[in-house]
Amino acid sequence: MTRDDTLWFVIAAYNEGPMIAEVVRGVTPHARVVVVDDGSADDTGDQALAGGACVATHLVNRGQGAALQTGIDFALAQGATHVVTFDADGQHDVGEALEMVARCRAEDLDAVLGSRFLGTTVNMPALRRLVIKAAVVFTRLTTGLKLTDAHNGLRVLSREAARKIRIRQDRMAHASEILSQIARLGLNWREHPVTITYSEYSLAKGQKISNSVRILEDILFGARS
Amino acid sequence: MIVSLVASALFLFVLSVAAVRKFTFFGLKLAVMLFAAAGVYFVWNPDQMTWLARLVGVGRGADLVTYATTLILFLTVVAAIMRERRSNDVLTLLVRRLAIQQARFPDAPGG
Repeated sequence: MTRDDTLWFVIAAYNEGPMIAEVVRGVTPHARVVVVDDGSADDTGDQALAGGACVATHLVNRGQGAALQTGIDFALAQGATHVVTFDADGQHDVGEALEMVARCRAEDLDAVLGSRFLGTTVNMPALRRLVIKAAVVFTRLTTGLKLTDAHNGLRVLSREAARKIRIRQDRMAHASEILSQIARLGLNWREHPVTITYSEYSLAKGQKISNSVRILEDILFGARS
Repeated sequence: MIVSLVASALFLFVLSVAAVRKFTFFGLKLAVMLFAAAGVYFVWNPDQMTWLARLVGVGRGADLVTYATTLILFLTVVAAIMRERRSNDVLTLLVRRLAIQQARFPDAPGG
């Protein structure tokens, strides 16, 4: 397997020291990786570097949206033709991400969005399924995008799309923001089935249900776009 | 008497601060100065406050003061939140620029 130096995986990581090196090592045989260490208190940055990723460090925590935008800026500066946003906690499957990139290239798409509802989920809590379904309906009403999933962190963006999309929502509302920009910019997108594995680690690290209220607040009052 | 003096002093302080400070809108400066001046006046003429309250359909002068204070406090909080949002955005841009400029590369890039 040869590494594709024009393909960049962007991973936003906050206190992901225990898992990040392993996640990075899963990607580095296939593509370049930039980990944005979002002001972690642990050794996330060093672990990611040891795993073979480039590391951009936020000196203070700015949130996942801000970290992804930093990583995208970095990848574009390094000449990326495609950017993959990838979770730090091992929920995503590298093989599926590469399939999405191949599809993005083959069909000349601007964006390929992972959907866990077209694909499979492993150990998904019922309440989380309900909240995500609510987000899907919300997205459909606000953007007109007929998606099956709304807050999936696995996305492939072409260079053009990555340049046009500007994440201004520093925290978690960026997932909705990216979708609304895809709709507004009229980008050519497809959904692709992916597997999300809810491991004990990812569940402990992942979104709390209560965060959805915060996300809604950010969408309603925080957006300038 | 002492309460009235203290209240007047506070209003006069606000008036002088508004007079020397720059505002984004001249209208806002004018509004704050007028409000402070009115404050001084009504501290010494509380009956007039009741007259004004009746005029706008509120029972007592004290009630009108409460409503006005609540409204001003609310607007102040909104302004503070918006200011905080703006400075947060600036902070993010700064942190991002630094992160990219000082990015670390692995010895064998990409493993």
